[in-house]
Amino acid sequence: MNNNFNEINFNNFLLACKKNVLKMAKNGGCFIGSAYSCIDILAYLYSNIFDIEKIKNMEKDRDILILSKGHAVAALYAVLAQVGIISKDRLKNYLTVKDDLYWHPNPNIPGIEFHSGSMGHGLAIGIGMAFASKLNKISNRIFVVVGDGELNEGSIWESVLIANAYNLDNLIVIIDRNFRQANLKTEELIPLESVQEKFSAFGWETLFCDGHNVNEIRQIFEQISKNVLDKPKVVIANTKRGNGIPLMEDNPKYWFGDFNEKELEEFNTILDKEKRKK
Amino acid sequence: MEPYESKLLSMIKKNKKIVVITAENRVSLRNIPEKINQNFIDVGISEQNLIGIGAGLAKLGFLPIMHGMSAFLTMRAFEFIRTDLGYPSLPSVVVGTFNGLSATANGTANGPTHQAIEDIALMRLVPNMTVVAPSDVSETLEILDNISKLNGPLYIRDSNSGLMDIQREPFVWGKNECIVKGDNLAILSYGTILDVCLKVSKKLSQESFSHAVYNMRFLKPVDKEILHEIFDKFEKIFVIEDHINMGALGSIIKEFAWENHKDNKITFINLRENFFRPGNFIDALQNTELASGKIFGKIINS
Repeated sequence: MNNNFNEINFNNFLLACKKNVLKMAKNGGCFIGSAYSCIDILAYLYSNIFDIEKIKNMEKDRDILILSKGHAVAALYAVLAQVGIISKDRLKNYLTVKDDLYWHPNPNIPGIEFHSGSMGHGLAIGIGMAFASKLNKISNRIFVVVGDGELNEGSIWESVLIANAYNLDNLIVIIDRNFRQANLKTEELIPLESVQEKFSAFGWETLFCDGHNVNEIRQIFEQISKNVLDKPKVVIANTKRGNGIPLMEDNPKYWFGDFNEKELEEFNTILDKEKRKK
Repeated sequence: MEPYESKLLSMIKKNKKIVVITAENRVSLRNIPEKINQNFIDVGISEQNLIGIGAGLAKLGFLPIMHGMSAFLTMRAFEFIRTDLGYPSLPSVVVGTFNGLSATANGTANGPTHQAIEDIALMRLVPNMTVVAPSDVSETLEILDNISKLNGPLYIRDSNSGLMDIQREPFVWGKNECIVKGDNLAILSYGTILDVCLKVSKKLSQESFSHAVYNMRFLKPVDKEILHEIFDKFEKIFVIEDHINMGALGSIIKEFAWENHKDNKITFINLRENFFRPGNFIDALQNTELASGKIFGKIINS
């Protein structure tokens, strides 16, 4: 599926997406730490796995992504703009009365398959959609991006049981494992480890990757595409909040960010330099 | 096979987009799972996921009919109903059983954990939600006949009781009906307690006390036409329901009266703010203001 992959092109694409996020980190801001945590994976899915034309045309057999950790929507909007599902100009309207782009996914925006924001809903919605595909005999896949803090929600574990009970092998959960939730480190508040053993014990196929290493991300999704096991799949992506901007990385102060133009200019420069290091 | 099950089966035969889902509440679904295969999903005891999964199916064009006990559906899964069905206005059906003083399988024996005595108030709060409380199985089936036309979620407060021995007007979606015609005063009720009101009605008739009884099954949107008719015709109105005194028919009537500057004399008979004392249906009923003798006394002395 992915034979034409070019790492340099991908890194350019990712950089552009990250810069798109900065356009939303002002005038009311966005959850930039959360966005930079999962943006590599979103960028990879939309640039290498998903058929963008199918998504644009809402074709029945399109792959579907639900961003259950709705706080990270700036990353999704940034990617949707970069692949042309929404116009880049639209990002300028973020948080203004001119448009409907706000802190959580709005279903009126093309590419947003279901609204989210309240934790612990997206996986149940994704299961419903996975059932829909089975009933329609469509071989698409449902991707649900879940935050690690979101694993505190009981409804997630209901979903984890149900997906296993029905062998929903068309369901792929990506856990953005940045070891942080709103205010605290996950392991200091409600310890989650071992996430892998938990999902494995619940009957899921579990996979790992460094969520900021595109070669690992690529390998994992190639493996998933083979669908060897007749099981729901979870990718535990080890990530860092605010990845790419040292000031923000794993810094609880920058879960959310609302910056002035001078700061944003500096961040743009930092992103360029970071990319050059790769 | 029960009439409710036969109805679901015949509907699914015609429309493969209907999916019957349950949170392991199979009282009204015992005979159909193996007959509809993939169109039946039991999610186990997880009401939040019941609704979330239904929402995912509905978003992709299926029509989910989600079953659970009213208390757990409307309270535990409230946010899912409000956020995942109500806000996007997804055509979908939430069927709650064991509500109010529901006589089904002696549901009144369960105690406060299982009592759904605020479900109508909660479901009326949900944006785009239609709320209906059928009084017997024939009415439930009439409601199901209309669900393909939904453009948002529907809550059915299913009394799931047998067939009532009454002459009904032809069923019209969104409209309530007069089931006993007369003068002096109007009795307004719905669901399980409508049957109790009919017992009261018979006694009143034996005393040659002319009165009317209205079946107020559609609770949202409000059927204002019939309310105008009732308020214009009757000075005295009795509002009788197995629900707490907030957010259901009593509140609808108060809001209507205030908005329309009505000064009719209205008596509200309901569960006030109380859980009812559990027991078999007859005994549980006796311990509330909804016992037929008590209703009769209030009306005859009004």
